[in-house]
Amino acid sequence: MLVRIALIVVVAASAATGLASTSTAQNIDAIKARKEILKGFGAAAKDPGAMAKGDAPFDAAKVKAALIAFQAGAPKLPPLFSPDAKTGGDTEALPAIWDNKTDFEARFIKLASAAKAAGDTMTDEFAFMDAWPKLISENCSSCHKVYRKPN
Amino acid sequence: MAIAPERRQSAVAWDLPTRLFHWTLVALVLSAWVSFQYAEHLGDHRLRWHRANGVAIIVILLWRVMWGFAGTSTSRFARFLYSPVAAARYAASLVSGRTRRFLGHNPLGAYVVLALLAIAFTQATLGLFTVEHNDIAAGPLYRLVTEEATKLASRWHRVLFFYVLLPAVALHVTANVLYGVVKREPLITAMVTGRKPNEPVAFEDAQSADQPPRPLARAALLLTISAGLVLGPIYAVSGRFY
Repeated sequence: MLVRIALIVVVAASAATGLASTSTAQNIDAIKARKEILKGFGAAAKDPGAMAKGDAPFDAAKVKAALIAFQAGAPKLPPLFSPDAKTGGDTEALPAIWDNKTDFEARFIKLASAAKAAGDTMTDEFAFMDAWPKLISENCSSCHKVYRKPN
Repeated sequence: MAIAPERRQSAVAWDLPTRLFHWTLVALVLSAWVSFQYAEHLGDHRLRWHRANGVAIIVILLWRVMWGFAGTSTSRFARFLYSPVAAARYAASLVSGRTRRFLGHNPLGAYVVLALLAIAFTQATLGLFTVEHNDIAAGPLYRLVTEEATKLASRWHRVLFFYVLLPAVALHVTANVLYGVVKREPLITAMVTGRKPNEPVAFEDAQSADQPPRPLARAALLLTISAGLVLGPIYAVSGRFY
């Protein structure tokens, strides 16, 4: 009898845990995928960042590669911030994203179009030194201030 | 010439250079905060204003240190470096409701002021080695340290501001407001006018501040020296002032 009761308790507990985990399950794959894209942005921006600080000579090819990475990655990001991808996977995403979904998603569209437009203008060092900080500040830094956990 | 009644009833507490320093520091800290937080809205993508603010803060803090040795008596460190026991006794008098008045800083407030100056100095100095996390702006001395060190400096630059400097400022402002409201001691007004009312209880530290000769000329000379001491080495090392 005791064994039977114990079995019932274990089965009930397992079912409850399963239900609970189903209701709070997070889409870790989406979190991983968006982190990969955003890390790719960071990697692509590293060399132009060094150029902007005067630590490396201007290299148009590297700037172009970064702009292409932004244009390619930005449209893929909005679906990866789905309501089931709020927590877990060491995400740095803040809840404000889901409170301001329209604004947040519009930022990626803006980034893609700004990167596309910048491709036509950042063709020499002088244009780059003005336009790169503006592009990054208006699209990346401003977004991080609101929607990303500070490092 | 007759002395105006309000002059007889009040004593000089803070000289003009000290008051200018105080309100300039307030303005610079506020401006540094706003110019970083809203850089993209202000069109200052390279944080030029924020960086210039930071260096200006270091200059005036160095000036304040010099003024602590060469300024008016109430501004001199020797006059407001009280022992921890004195600070504790003063705190006890606050709790008991007994009124003890000081022309300069009181023994407890002196510690808060010194802490605020030290925190502001550390904050601004960390900024010299900071790199904006998207690599679009950097303090003038970031090349002197490793990438890891710049990341650490950047992190502490943020943590210190939000978790140490802002709470310390909030404590300072709250305490000064409470002195005005609860104890009827207009400390904020005194930092504007430079004078504190003589009544109702006599000051414990001094009855009036002793000003050095030509205080404004002396302050201006010290400001020139402190600007040179801060901007000179920064320019020599980095090729820019901020």
